[in-house]
Amino acid sequence: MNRYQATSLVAARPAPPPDRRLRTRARAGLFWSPSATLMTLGLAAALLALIWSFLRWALPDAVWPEGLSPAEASAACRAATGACWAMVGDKSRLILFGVYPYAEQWRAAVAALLMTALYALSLQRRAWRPWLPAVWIAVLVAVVVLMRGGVFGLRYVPDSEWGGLPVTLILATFGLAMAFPLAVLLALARQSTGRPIIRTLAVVFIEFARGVPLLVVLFMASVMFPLFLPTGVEVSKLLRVLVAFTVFAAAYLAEVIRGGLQGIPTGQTEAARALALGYWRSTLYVILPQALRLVIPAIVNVFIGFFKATSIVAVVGIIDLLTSSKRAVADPLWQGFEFEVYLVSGLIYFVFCYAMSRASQRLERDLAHDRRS
Amino acid sequence: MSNARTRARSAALRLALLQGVAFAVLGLGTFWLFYITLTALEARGIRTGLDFLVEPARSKVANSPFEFLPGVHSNGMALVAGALNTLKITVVVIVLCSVLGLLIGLGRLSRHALLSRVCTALIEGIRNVPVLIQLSIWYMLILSLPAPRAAEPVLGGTLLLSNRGLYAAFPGWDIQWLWGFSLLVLVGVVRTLLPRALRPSVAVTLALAIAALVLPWLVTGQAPQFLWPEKQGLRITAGLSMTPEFTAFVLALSIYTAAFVAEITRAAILAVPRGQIEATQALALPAGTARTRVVWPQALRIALPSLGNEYLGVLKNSSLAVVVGYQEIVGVGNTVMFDTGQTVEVMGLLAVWFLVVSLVVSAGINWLNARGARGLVR
Repeated sequence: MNRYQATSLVAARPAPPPDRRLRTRARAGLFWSPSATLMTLGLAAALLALIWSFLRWALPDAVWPEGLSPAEASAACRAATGACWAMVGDKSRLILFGVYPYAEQWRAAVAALLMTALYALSLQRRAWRPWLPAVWIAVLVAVVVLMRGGVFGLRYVPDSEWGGLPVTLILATFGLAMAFPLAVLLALARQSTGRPIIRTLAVVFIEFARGVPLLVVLFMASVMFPLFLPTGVEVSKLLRVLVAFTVFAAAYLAEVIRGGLQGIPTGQTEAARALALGYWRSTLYVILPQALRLVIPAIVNVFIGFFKATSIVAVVGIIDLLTSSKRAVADPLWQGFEFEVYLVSGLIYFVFCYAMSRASQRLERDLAHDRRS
Repeated sequence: MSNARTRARSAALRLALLQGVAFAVLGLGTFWLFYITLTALEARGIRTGLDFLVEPARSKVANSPFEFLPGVHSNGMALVAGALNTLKITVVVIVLCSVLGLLIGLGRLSRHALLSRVCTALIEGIRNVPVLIQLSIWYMLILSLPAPRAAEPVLGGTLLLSNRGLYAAFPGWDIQWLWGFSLLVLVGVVRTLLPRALRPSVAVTLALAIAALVLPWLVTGQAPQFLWPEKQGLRITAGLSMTPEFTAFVLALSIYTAAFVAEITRAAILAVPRGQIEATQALALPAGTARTRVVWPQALRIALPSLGNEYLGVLKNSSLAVVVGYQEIVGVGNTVMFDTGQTVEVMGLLAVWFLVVSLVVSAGINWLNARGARGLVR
């Protein structure tokens, strides 16, 4: 007998569990060498100092809006070394809703909540059903009714008085919703073979819109658009900007959707043809549902980009969240407290964008998982 | 058989009809737009044509790269000044955001847990807040710096910060520097042209580079001049001065774009096939060499298309400088538009300018991409 030869099969053993103890992990990630230790200590010291001074500025040294008149609070803020949250408290309505009539601001708040809920719903995969577009249309109509009024006993508020967060949300939401059908058509046109004229038109439009800054498109909308209309026809500034946004977003979305169309194997088109489906039916029932599903995370990313880009409309005089924040500190009482107001409005943007980007990453992971299994 | 052919023919006919209709609608639409616009312009007494370009400008150009005199220089020259400013911002921001983005991206990939978390937080914090808010914050911070009289010297006096701008030490434009830099470039060019076997090591190259900078100094016997920032009464003179608007905008856009560049960097490095890294280990290459010679060159090729898009984004985002009153081409265009009323022409010029520059940049990227793709391991 060879004593070095195994006589029975050795059963496979599971890998040893990773050492999850805090000590080992800290050693592996933070203190594995002298230079790593030095870096850990240096970074930690810098971070602690930063966080400490920020917290001191933001909490104990700050002036809070508690029962002070604006004039008193302003004086207290100027005397204090910390943040001036009293200003944010005093101007919170202006920051959030701009110059929307004070008594009617609940309508703007409900509209903003509706749109936020719409985002949350649309980012759930369970909601990707044929009824989702109907929900979008219903919410958009409800938002317009709420903001504009004039029906159901609601006071009429012209869109020149809209402002703040609802306007930011409206620009992003309506811009995307209106751009979407246009983008699908553009992407299909750009992908289509055998229709050279339509294809060329789509390519020219997409490349033009993508080659020019949004700001130029907005200027075009605000100064050139009126020239294009027959005399006597007036379109409000918000609507003009919305049209510009739609056109611009459509070009970017079209490229994303085109990516999805390219990701669908030709076999799908051929199978649809073999089943005697025509172009429109095969596109509508076979290709598009798959292609759109593929690019939803990318669409969310485009949406986040546009959500942030809405802050540009300040330049053409629309009162969005950023503009209303700037108006808040234009008040002589509160001049010099810009940092606080930018921090607050920045935080609002951050919450929306970060939540959406996390949701988009989750979707991407889930969809990739679906494809593999 | 004939049935199929008729059907194919009718499909082709339908297609042709569809295209014809699309074309006709577009043609009529364009005609209508032109007609309406021309009547609107006529009704408002606005003239048309490009004559305004050679007429003297009415407003000045803030932050013009050359001395701009309204009334002497034309509207066309104003637009040229704006275009130069656009290019200046774009180039500076592209360089800064690439360096910063690379550092943050590598930091996020680092094995160091704290560094990696800090970089992740930085990226998420920066890219989820609109660049205009960041710009407003930076501009506000710069304007709250002390006045030039009380300006604080930073980094051993190489930098003076004030609410009127940033002043930095910079080589003076004298003959020693000119020779020094020319020699330096020569060293670099010769090194890349030499066959790999003959190339001097990094240490020798560094020594040569230092020699190139010192040699003109020794030959002429004069030390090369450094223009340090100096307070002279109410103003500051320096080798390099930047206005608050330019500084704030460059900072904001560079940092904002760097967050995206960092993510591109990270994705590209992670996309290098794992087998490549295992192969370097099998060949017992030192980790540093493996990174610089195997991983990073391949990552660069993977990153190039996305980087190109990001750089085009910088070109387009440079128009946001209007917000702080730094006049690049869109800002100047806006002024010219209000002075002359010729909206359509100015907007058209702006659009053409951006399209042309975008096309040139993307052609350059495509060329690089085509060159790089040859060596790409898939």
